[in-house]
Amino acid sequence: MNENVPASFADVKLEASCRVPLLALFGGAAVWLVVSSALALIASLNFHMPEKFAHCAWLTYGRVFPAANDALLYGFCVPAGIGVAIWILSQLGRAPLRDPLVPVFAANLWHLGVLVGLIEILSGNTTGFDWLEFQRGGSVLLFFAYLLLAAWAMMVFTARRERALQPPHWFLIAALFWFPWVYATANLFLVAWPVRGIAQSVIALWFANNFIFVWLSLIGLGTAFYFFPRLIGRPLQAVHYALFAFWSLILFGTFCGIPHTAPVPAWMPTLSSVGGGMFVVLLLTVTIVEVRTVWGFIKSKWDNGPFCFIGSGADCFVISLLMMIALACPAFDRTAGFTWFTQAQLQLQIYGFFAMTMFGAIYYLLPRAVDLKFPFPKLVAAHYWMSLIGIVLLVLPLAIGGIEQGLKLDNAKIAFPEIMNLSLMYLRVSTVGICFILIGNLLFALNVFVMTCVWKMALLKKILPAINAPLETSEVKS
Amino acid sequence: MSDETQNNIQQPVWHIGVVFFAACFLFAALAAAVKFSVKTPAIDADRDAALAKSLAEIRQTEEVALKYPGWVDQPRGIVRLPIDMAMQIAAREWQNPDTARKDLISREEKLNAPAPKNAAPKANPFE
Repeated sequence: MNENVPASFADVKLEASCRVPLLALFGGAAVWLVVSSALALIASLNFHMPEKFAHCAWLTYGRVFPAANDALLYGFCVPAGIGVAIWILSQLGRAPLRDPLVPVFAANLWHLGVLVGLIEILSGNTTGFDWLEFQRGGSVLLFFAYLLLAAWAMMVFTARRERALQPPHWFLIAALFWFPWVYATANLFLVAWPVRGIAQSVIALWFANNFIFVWLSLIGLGTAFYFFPRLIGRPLQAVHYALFAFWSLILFGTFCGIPHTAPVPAWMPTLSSVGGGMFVVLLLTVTIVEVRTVWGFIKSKWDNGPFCFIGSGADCFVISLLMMIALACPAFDRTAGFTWFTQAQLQLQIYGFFAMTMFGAIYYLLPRAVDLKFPFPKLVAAHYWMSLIGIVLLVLPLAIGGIEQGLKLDNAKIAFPEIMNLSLMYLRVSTVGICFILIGNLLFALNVFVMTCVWKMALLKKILPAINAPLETSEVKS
Repeated sequence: MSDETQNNIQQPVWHIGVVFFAACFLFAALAAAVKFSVKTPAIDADRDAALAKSLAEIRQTEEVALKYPGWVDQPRGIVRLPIDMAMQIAAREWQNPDTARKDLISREEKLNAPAPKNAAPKANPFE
């Protein structure tokens, strides 16, 4: 597909059908992204300036860190992912989104759920399970809002006019079902009817892996496999490898994520390691598809915008996968398992891969959906470089610091406080990285908000004359 | 626009949304089925029964010890006697104080005699 081709009436209708739901989803996502970065900055500052926030319980690490993680994952990643998935399904199938007010309602319900959940976390009421900290009130709102959004995405998929299925379809449709499955099961077995003993930690680890790794990868790879051909202007190469990537992610991804340091029966981490090792297939196939599709077009398509964001996101996915495969090796996991290395891998997966891919997709699709240009186009490039520098400064020190920390923890001659002091330098650098990311996210939010305001003003200008127009005499009489 | 395309546009798809809702609730229903079909007793459900059983065992042991004679250390001739029986034996034995005293001293010596030395313990093959 060539973006220089003038849009037909059908294309304009397609874009217009998604306009308001996408603005509702992405507008809220931009807010939560900034909130998440600000909370992450406070959490990071807690390590080297603990006295600054000690007087306020709301800003202590135990509350701010999970709030930052959940604001990023539930506040930004899910609405952005669902919005992009709806748009891609609509474009691939040439089918407009019907009854768009329902997804708008669902988007607002989702953001309300995130707000309720975050207030609960910051006030100290969490479930205590990583990545599932929202209490029942927030969780129920999120679940129903997701079902509404995903149901409308399924309806767009069913009404498609182009009947042939393409690689993005596999990934996105699987993702639509994946989230309700893992979220409902984890919430029921951990919060509603808590199971006993080690089953709790196993379910919590299973949920975290299936959400952060499998769900984000399904949406992210589906998006990348749609946008690479669209941005470059030639079909996705090595499609059969994409099928391999899909099935290896589905089959092996679901039983990974249990580290060797987890207090569970030994067969569980062993099985998890086998699954992690099989990710070599996923790594190779994704790399082959990306390289064969993009190779030769990098210089000509370099735009400091959507192509760069999605390309960097795919590269981060490959590096994150390599780190995950390394953590699946028992010898390395015993050294790096309880260190900052795991946090580096998580941040690379969530922010480096998923968020970057979503930024690229949003920068591409939002001007088309709203039929307006971004008000500050130069800020897109600034956002890209800020995010890239931020990711490098966040992930690299945590990864190196984590390995050093693990090696020193294995040495009984080095005192524990000494090891903690050594990791402070790496934490300070990662705090600088978070600052870059926060600035980048502010630029993104600024572009989205000003564009939304411009669209609303234009809409108001269209509506006002109709409201102010004098009633015709016949209407007055009647 | 072809007829097929036109049909696809007008084709109602709301039932797909309903089916998706139902499919997602199926996950929750499966979790509920697992929860209610697998009966796991509460951790302290049998606490009262276990306490009552232990108490009954203690009472039975005490009753045997209080009411019936038994060996405490058979090689040294030490027995456990109910108090009534011990008083009757003492009253009968002490009818003749000299014999009773001698018997008492001999029994006391037997009681305090050093324990026979055991054979040297076998070497641990694993050490």
